[in-house]
Amino acid sequence: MGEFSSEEPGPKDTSPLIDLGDVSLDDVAQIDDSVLRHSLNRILGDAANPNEVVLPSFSASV
Amino acid sequence: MRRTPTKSSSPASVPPSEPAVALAQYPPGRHPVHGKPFPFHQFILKIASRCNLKCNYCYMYEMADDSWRGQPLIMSAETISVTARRIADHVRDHRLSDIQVVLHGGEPLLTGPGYIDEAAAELRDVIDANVDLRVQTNGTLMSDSMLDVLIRHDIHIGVSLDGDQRANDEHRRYASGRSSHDRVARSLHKIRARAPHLLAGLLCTIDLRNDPVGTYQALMKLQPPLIDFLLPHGNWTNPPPGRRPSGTDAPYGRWLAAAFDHWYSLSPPGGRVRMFSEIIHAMLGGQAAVETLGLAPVRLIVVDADGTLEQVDTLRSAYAGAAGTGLSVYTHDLDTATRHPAIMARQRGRDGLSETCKACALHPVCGGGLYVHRYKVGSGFMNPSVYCPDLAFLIRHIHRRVSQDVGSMSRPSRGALGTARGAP
Repeated sequence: MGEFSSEEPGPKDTSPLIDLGDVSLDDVAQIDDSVLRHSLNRILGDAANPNEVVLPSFSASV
Repeated sequence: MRRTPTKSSSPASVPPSEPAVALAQYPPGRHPVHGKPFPFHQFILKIASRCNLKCNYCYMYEMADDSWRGQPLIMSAETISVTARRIADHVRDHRLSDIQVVLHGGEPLLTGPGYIDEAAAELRDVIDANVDLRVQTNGTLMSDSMLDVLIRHDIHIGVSLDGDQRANDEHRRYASGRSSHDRVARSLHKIRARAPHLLAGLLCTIDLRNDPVGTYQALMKLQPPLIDFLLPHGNWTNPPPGRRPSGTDAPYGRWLAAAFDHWYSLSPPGGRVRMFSEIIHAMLGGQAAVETLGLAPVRLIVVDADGTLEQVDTLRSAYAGAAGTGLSVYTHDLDTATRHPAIMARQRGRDGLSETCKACALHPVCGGGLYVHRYKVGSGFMNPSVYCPDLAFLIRHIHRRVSQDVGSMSRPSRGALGTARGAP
């Protein structure tokens, strides 16, 4: 185990290209059901646990 | 639970067919950044080495690598068993609670329902973790008995389809030339009728001749929870259709941007388009959860039908042997594969990118593009993606739309891409 990384992978050394400032989940709840609302809920809701499984790019072989 | 008896601690070897230039960037035995590899979380089992379709863009059968000819038609029961034990060992050694196993091919359903039944039972029995078991299929062989098995083992189903019949027929035909679209559509209706929760999504390879919005709408008629638009495989040496390697035009970027505008404007939202949602997520500071984008380390391993271990098999489109590791489940444990230099190279994040990519403000989102699309004879994979202008066009397009909307919510968004260095 010691020779394997226990760090959760992720972009830790870069700033987001879009800064949400102090937009909150309450703010998000005020907007229409939309891609934007889902996206903001995802990033704000997942902030405490950002690790997600990276899925392979499946191909057109099947 | 038995530990697999044939462990080996020998360092990862390199198949002799790989060009030396591509390997020079992979100093063996050391992780270039962390000093430590990541354990695998995803295991792709090529249970069938043949396919009943003859899609003309297929990286398995129509591109640089024809090693499938030497593979057994299907993965043997013994290889399934050894693979299951290797995964079980890996899960236990790294205390993994959740993994994903994908039954892949060729066309995995060519193996038949009895085979899938036994393979799934063995995998679930031997591996002591939550196993997200999936099958990636062309959707032409979804008999009632096959669907019974998939339901019994809670196997999620990804189906490849390129749009309506005309769009799909451009590439996805039987060897006889017959269309496959109707059979796939019938299979999807069957899945939706009996087990809608098992339909994972549709994979659609882009053809620039097809209308982007029409393609999205045709796929959405089948009510998938997710659509994955895939860029056709190609690289700097063998460019994709319609992509001039030296050009700054962005035909795929424009195609995707048109699809994005339609998708983004739907309220309530339509089915999720993974490429778009992951780009937005990465722009907002999240981690793109797909291999094609972002900087997260790739943590998957492919087991071929004869038990050999491969990197992600799309690398076959670059050159013969590109996906090879020289390892096998019969002779090596999976920890050995994590130390293979080519696998570690795809866990390096930003440090694994070319200098051009590092200098570009977009790299946290595009991640340099899909690894296989970076290949060029002479410099290996240390290049931007051959799709760099397309990815940059799409990311900038999405950034404009999303940053404007976020800014209008309250405070101005401070995100800006106008000064990005190195971006096309």
